[in-house]
Amino acid sequence: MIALEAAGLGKRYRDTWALREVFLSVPQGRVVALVGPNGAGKSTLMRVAVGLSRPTTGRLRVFGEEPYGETLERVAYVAQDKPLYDEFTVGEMIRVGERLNPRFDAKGATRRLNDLNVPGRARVHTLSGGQRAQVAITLAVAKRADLIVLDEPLASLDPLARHEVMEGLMMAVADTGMTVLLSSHVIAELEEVCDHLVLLSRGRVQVAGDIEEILQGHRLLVGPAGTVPGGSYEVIGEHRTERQTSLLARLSDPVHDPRWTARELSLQDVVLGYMRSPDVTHYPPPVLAERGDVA
Amino acid sequence: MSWLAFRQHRGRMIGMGLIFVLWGGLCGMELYAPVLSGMSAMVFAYIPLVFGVFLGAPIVSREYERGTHQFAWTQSVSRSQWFLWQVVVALSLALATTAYISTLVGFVTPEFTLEVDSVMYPLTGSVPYAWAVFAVATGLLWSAITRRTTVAMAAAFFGVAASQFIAEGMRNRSEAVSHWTAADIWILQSVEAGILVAIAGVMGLAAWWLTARRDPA
Amino acid sequence: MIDFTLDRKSGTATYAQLIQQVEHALRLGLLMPGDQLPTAKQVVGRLAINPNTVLRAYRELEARGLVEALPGLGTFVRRSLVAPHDPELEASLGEWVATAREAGLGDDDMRSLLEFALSGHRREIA
Repeated sequence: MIALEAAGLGKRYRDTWALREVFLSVPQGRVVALVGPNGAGKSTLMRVAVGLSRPTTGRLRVFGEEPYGETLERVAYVAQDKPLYDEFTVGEMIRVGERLNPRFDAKGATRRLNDLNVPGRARVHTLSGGQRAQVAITLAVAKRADLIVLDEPLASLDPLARHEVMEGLMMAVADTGMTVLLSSHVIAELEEVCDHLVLLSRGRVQVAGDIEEILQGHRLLVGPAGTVPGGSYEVIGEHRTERQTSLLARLSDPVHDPRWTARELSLQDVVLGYMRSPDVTHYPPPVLAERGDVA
Repeated sequence: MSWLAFRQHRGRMIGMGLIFVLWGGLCGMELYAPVLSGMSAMVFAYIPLVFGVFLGAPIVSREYERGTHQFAWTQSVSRSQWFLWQVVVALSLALATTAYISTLVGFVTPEFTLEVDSVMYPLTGSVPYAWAVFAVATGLLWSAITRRTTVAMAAAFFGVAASQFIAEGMRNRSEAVSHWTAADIWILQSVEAGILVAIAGVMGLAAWWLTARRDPA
Repeated sequence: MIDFTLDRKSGTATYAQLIQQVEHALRLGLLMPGDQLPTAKQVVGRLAINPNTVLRAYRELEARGLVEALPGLGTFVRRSLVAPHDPELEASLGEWVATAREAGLGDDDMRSLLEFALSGHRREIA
């Protein structure tokens, strides 16, 4: 089952394209890191995915349906600034969630916020940034959606709050197997929680796929300067000194060249490499994505 | 959904409660001091302005300004349904206040003959309700267009005031032609109310379209 | 029961770190056959990592025959990795260390030599 699928998706604001020809196919149950430099279109993609914005071209489907009407039951969203009703109490916010969502787990939300020491009687505007984020994310989790979309959930949180937010989210994933779409411009925060990557650059998908496959397919090739390793690979980035050449490469086959060593890369290395070369794209063409649907 | 709309209107309900008390006091004073007779009826002309500014104008723009539309519109309820409930609650408040005041004023005002230029004209029949609906719709439309509460409030204030002025001119003109009597003035009132409600309906639809169909940017 | 930790700067994949820690505990005898590994949820609650990562590490350990997943009960250790005590081998390594130190090698030099030997690479001297 495909949780999120985009085909030829484009979104234009006045005369600038925030998204262009986006093709995506995210299988159900993945925890997806949506990364890219500021202004790459991450927030726009998320807003289209939760039905707040409508595509200018192409289409986007959530579990096979457009994200409007009844499909909204299956999608939860927390915007970057964690909007809540400031004049409400935390308890009243839970009540809103309960009234507006048929599958809402009010007991679970109350328990979770109690555990986090967020009192139900507190008014939302008196909460700290971390508590506010906890309330917003707890409400989204309690909706028991099949896809939860979080725009920069960790921005402006201290390390403890980050840990607590992620822990709560991952516990929910362990319980329900829901699909998670998380955006961040700091890839390091997502490395341990995500198993799928979507890297956006200038409104297009530059890399998308399961992180493990991406890591398997990329190596840092280090060898003497002035030589080129044999084999079939594509160079994403390179760094040369007088004696040594380092190539960030996507390999089709292992490189067998005794003078060159192939080192494994961290996700951050791969992402940074692509971000430095925004013109290189590595994404299966739409045909492959479509074929993935059937499987 | 209704719970959220009512909860969000709590402050405005208190505001309308104050108007209830104020008018109660005003009418009470009229009963004991006949010099003041007719005052509560005269001040009524400002009530639609209050509806437009405080009930209509905040409906959509307050959400945009605080970003809460991103919360409200991503729950399991369609944007249209959300919009409908906000409007229903605002309209109910406006209509309840109107009913209260027109009843109260009718009660304290001595016998009178209904004429086009009498202070009781805007307070009798369907006319006060039509103005309440029209004022809320004006505020709502400006709210949906501008997405800024203060701007929408100012626009609603001037919009409703200008409409009142125009309506008065048209009433006087029809009076010059037809010479409405107390027996048939209800026809004029029905026409006025019908026009107001029709315009309000169009404005409400436009506001709905702008809210539910346009990207919240 | 063992407690997992995460070295976020190591660059080693999270699931690989979990496997390493279980194997390490098996080698040191901290985990013995029959012992239970923490459930995925317990690990997630502590480390805030993706539950699939834990499940993956456990599957890999199971494939290596080290643990066994009993549905509804948990994951249990099947086999210990405590290395058999070999005095001869230890003595020859001790001798080698002494010789290397005489030759002027420091601890780090020896470690990198051992690393090279383990990875099967021959040192190329330009």
